Amino acid sequence: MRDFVPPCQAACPAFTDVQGYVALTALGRFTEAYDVARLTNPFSNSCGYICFRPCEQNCRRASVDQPISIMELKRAAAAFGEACGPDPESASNGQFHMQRRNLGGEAKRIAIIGAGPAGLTAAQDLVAAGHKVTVFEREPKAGGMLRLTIPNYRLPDTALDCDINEVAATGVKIKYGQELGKDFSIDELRADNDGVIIATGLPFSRSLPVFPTEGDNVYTAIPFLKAVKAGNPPALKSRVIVVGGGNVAIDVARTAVRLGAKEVNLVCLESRDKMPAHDWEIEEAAAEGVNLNCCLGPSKLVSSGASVEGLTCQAVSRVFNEEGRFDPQFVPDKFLTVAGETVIVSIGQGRDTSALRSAEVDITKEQPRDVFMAGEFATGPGSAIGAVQNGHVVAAAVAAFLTGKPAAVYEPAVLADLPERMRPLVPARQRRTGMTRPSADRVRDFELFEPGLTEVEAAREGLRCMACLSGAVVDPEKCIACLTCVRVCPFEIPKIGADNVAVIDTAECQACGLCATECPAGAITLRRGQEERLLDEAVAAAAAAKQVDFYCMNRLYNDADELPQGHTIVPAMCIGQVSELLMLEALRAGAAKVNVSLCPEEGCFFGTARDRTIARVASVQATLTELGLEPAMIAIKE
Amino acid sequence: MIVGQRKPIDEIYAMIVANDVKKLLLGGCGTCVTISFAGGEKEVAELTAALELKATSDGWTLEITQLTPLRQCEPEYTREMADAVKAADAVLSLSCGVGVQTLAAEFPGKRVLPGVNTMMLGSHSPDRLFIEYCGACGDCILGETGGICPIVRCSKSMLNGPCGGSVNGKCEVSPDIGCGWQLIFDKLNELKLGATWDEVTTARDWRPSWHGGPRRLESK
Ligand SMILES: Cc1cc2nc3c(=O)[nH]c(=O)nc-3n(C[C@H](O)[C@H](O)[C@H](O)COP(=O)(O)OP(=O)(O)OC[C@H]3O[C@@H](n4cnc5c(N)ncnc54)[C@H](O)[C@@H]3O)c2cc1C
Ligand code: SF4
Ligand code: SF4
Ligand code: SF4
Ligand code: SF4
Repeated sequence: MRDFVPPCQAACPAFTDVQGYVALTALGRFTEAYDVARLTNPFSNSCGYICFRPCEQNCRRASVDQPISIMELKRAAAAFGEACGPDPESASNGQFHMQRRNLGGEAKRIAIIGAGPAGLTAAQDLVAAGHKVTVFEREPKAGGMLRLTIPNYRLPDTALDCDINEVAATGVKIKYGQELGKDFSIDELRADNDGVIIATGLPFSRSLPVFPTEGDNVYTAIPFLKAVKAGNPPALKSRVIVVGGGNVAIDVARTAVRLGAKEVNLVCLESRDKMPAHDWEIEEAAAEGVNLNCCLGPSKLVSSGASVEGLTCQAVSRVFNEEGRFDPQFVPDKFLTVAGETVIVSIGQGRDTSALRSAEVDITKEQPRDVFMAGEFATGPGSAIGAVQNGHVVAAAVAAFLTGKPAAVYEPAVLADLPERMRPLVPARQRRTGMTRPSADRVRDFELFEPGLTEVEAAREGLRCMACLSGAVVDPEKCIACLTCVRVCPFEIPKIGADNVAVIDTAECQACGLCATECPAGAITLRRGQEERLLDEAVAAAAAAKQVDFYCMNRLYNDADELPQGHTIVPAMCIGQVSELLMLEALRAGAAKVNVSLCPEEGCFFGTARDRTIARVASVQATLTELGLEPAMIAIKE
Repeated sequence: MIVGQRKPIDEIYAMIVANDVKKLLLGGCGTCVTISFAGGEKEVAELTAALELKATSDGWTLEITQLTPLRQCEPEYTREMADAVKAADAVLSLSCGVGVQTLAAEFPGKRVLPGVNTMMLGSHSPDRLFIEYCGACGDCILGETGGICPIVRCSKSMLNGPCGGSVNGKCEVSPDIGCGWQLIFDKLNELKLGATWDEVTTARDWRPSWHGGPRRLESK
């Protein structure tokens, strides 16, 4: 059977097990949640602040109310869990959640240029595969653009430090202050290593032909943001004009506001709804007082002597041609001048290939087999998580090249949208996001503009997740078409199909587990190993606390004024997942008391679960009585 | 189908202790008793857990192996159990009595204990109420009685209408039992066959039923 994944996971470029860590966050198990998030994304802590979150755009909950705040839960996991490895230099016995893995095989030497998300992800993967990896970074710190340019009001250094420390702790060696083209050449690296990865990103800021790139009071985005982050912000003249409509331009504009610019005017070719920047970023900038001047193309810098006075722009009639290609056209004779004393151009970044052309072979034209390109250097502008993904892909390619073994391909199918008929049945639940500081307050500093969710809020937000794809699967070999599942499902999902075997629509199933626990032939299992998980957790709780409290997520959600406390709680999607066998196993594992929580009748989303649970508990009690054991060892908790 | 009901666990446990069983094979049956929630894979697992719980609390060493073939009433299927049967001190069968006996015949010298009471030939409704429908009498007369069997659905197996104990459609044996003949009467009326009500059923040949000793049937 082909594997399915929920769309959140499929949408994450790094294939993050979103459901896995969201479920753990829901229980306040932040450290474990962090471990899950980090498994495929070494920059998970940073991504918790700055990711463009394609996962949320694909979350199935959106068709019920709003998507889960997936990104913020990643942030919460790192913030509230024991996330950060200590400084690797002093960390001989530190606690790291990523174990050093050595998958064996012959260790090869690999050099990576650039310690951004792509370079470090590839480095971590290759170390995990048993190779020796050295990363060469020209700056004194790692993190790439996240370190150098992304403003601190969006990404705190502590989060990035945490990610970097964890990567280093896996055994990745980073050499700082090492610049390609200055401290070493690509040919030297090739001579010393079995493989070289270029992951130098896009360090150049583009400028416009219409005026000089840099000069008094004319800046480009990357040097400007770099200078601000390095603690040497340029003194901005009173009114600032930012040219560009992308996310970087927005960062520039919001940074200018924080540096005390009297007025910030953003000028871009696109109309408001076609601006490449994310909607939420545009709204946040506007709230901070950034003025948007859309559909304008800069044509001439207005200056008197050395001082800038404004920017003359021409009205744009279209930006893209019929084929969707960038081909701006202007309205003849329609000009206007935006006044301002400083101009910052933020119209895109480019790669630096100077040191590559001079190599033995011009690597920009012809790529030797031992040289690989990763991250934005290879893909062009993208996102942090996109660079992480590409780092994984390139690491796999490098490993395959070095060992001669082809990389494994895993292509699961993606779970379809929640079918129309199911949508009204799922109870609506308000999405929680970290509060945003009032704009008047936040523009005064570079502190985080969003304080983030509290622990309790994060847990409740996590409980909104529908656990898509942890539902029922029928084993056709075992099904005897007894109709039990058909009768017990609260949503009439199972049907007896044409070949006299029960069929359960994966997209409809709400994972209550009732059919699986009732199927007398043991033909139904729950995906993602729910039964084993429940059993493991029940056994662990019984061993640790002599008590097991089976809870359903529904009830936890409704009760959750505080985090689920103690080691006794074993959460199930629905209490229907808790079988008689599981109750007995909990007792057998040494629990002196097993509580099975019930939702109030009106509060239960899974209609038949209540009655079945009452019947199951009664049956286990009867069994205990028959055996001369204490029936009160198991009880319903209303 | 054959409807079974799992025996009370104390009775089962007592049999295990009385027979000094240390290694038990718990054999389910994947057909009728599975459907009647008495002896399928699920009940086998639950019973295992319950027995082990009890044994542990008693300090009785009991090792249970679980196995649920498709049907215990066919030697071809029970043969799959041979190794497990050999390794066990005794087998506790959760099939109907047919399965228990097939097993015992298949494995001479091995104690086969029944874990299920075979209850009836019946059917169940979505609310899990099992009702007896057929007495396997060997001479079916459902054609004359509107499809309702007087042999099992009338407490006294009356063939010519109700006894004097039919009160408001209920049987005098219990108010939970509908009077079989009331059901037949209503059904015949529904089928507009009320007239046949008057026809006297002639003396019945009970020889094909259990009154002629154990039945054998050669299928042509
Ligand atoms: C202002 C800004 C805001 C952004 N905001 C977001 C956001 O909110 N969300 C998001 O997902 N993405 C965002 N991005 C994009 C994200 O930062 C990039 O996609 C990501 O950093 C690319 O990773 P990379 O590893 O390919 O390259 P980089 O991060 O650029 O890393 C390249 C590394 O190589 C080093 N290097 C370069 N040249 C040399 C050399 N010659 N020798 C040695 N080392 C060298 C650099 O110092 C750097 O450390 C933003 C980018 C910018 C510029
Ligand atoms: S890394 Fe980004 S896309 Fe992936 S799960 Fe996290 S927020 Fe979503
Ligand atoms: S509801 Fe949960 S599992 Fe489903 S798509 Fe959203 S985050 Fe993923
Ligand atoms: S409950 Fe199990 S055996 Fe019965 S129809 Fe459903 S899948 Fe098949
Ligand atoms: S009973 Fe629950 S788990 Fe089974 S199909 Fe219905 S919703 Fe899914």
